[in-house]
Amino acid sequence: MFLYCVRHVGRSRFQYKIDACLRSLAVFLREATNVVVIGLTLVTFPDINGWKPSELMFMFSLLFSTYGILIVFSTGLRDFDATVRSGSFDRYLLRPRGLLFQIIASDADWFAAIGHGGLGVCLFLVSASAIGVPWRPATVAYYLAAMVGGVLIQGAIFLVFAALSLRFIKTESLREVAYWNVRKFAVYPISVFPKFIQGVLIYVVPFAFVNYFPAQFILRKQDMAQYPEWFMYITPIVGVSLLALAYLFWKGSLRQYQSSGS
Amino acid sequence: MNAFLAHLRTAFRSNSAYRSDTVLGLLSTCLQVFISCAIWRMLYGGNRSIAGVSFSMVATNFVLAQGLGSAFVFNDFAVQRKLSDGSIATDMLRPVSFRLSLLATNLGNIIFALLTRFAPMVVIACLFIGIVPPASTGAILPFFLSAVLGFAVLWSISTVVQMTAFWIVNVWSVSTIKNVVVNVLSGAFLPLWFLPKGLTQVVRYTPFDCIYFIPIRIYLGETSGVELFHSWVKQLVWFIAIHSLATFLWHRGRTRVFIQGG
Repeated sequence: MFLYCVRHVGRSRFQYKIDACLRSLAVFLREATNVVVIGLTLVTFPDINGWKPSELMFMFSLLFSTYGILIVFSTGLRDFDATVRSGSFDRYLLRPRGLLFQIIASDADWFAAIGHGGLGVCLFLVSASAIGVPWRPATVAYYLAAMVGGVLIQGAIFLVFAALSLRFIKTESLREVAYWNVRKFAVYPISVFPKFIQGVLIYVVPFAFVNYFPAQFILRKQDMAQYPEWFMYITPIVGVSLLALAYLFWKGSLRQYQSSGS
Repeated sequence: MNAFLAHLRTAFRSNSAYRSDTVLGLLSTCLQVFISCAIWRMLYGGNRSIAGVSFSMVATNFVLAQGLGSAFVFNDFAVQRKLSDGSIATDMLRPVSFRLSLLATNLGNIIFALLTRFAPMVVIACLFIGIVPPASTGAILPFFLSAVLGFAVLWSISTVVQMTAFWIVNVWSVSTIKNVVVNVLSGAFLPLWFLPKGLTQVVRYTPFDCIYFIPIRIYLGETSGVELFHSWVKQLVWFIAIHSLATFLWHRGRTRVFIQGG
């Protein structure tokens, strides 16, 4: 069933081939400009607490690659507030398939996936070769596990926003505030920011576990000394636990939505 | 004239219907500015001034550019939507100029945003971030005039993008590219003082520094006397040039609609 939906979404998204290419390219360029702006900033400020530009790029690439994978599965979650507003969600409730299954299978923004994911891969290749990372089997295994963890963490964030959409009509601005704006800090190593901001990035919207700590596992920079060493290893566990918590919140919100008689 | 004001008032009123949206809009604007200032305070380290630019100037740049930017929002898709649902046919039959009614709607939204996002954010910024007050009382009125001209330039650029809807089915790609170029080259996220010399020269020949950077320089007192006059003229010339292009596209686009027998 899922594969059927995937094929269907893929066909409708790629029906106009040139348009699909242009859209993916537009997303890629739009995100690449953010990289260019940061690159230009680094010309004036080349040393960020001991991190060189190539190391910052390496850390930055994780944000894009995890988002590229994430958006394939969570486009439905991203657009969920529109689904609720239009009333389509009530149709989902009547169908014999699981709700989350329907939301996830209903759409996949391949253009965003190709744009963000492609940029992530490019940044990774350029920075990893510039740094000269020694890729041992254990390092590769952990990097992949950390990527999955990063996807799960952000998936949990999106699931929470979707659950909030059941209670509040428009969560788009909230997502803008709590996800995209906080993400701007994650470009830089969190050690350079005041404790308050570090707290937000570690405990509230855990971008630190998406890219900073996994990057530290590989790069082992000096500023890691201020954090417990085991922070570097636990990204996959954080991902699974946060997703489980988000799922419970989702279930709770759903029960409230259904019982209020829609 | 009455119809123009009516459109304006309707747009203004429809904004005030969504309280939570208004609050979130202000929150989002404040957060954006706060994040940019936090990141640049981190970049500055302990230094008061880098390359002749003080941190307060950078903070003022963000407050003014991003603040005005959050208010000067245009719907690039306005014409596209009217074309796709056919309402452009009835709109063009009305006694009010179609383009003026679009402008009136935009102005209604913008005035609302200036009152609820820009003004409160500036007050909050004054309290919490060290921004620079106007260079002198003599700089205030020139700044306002320049800001209005900057708005006019941005509006004319958006109008050109909207007009492409007559030829391109979906203006999303053009709109995205326009937003990206404006964001980078207007100095809203990377103060133009920090662009590499070569790029600064290029930007000087584009209309993009007319939008926020020229007004900000006037505010900071960097521009006065004859140079002030030159700045206004530059903004005016760009506005007239781009607006003429928009008018040209409008007239060519209108004939396309009639030929399709709408």
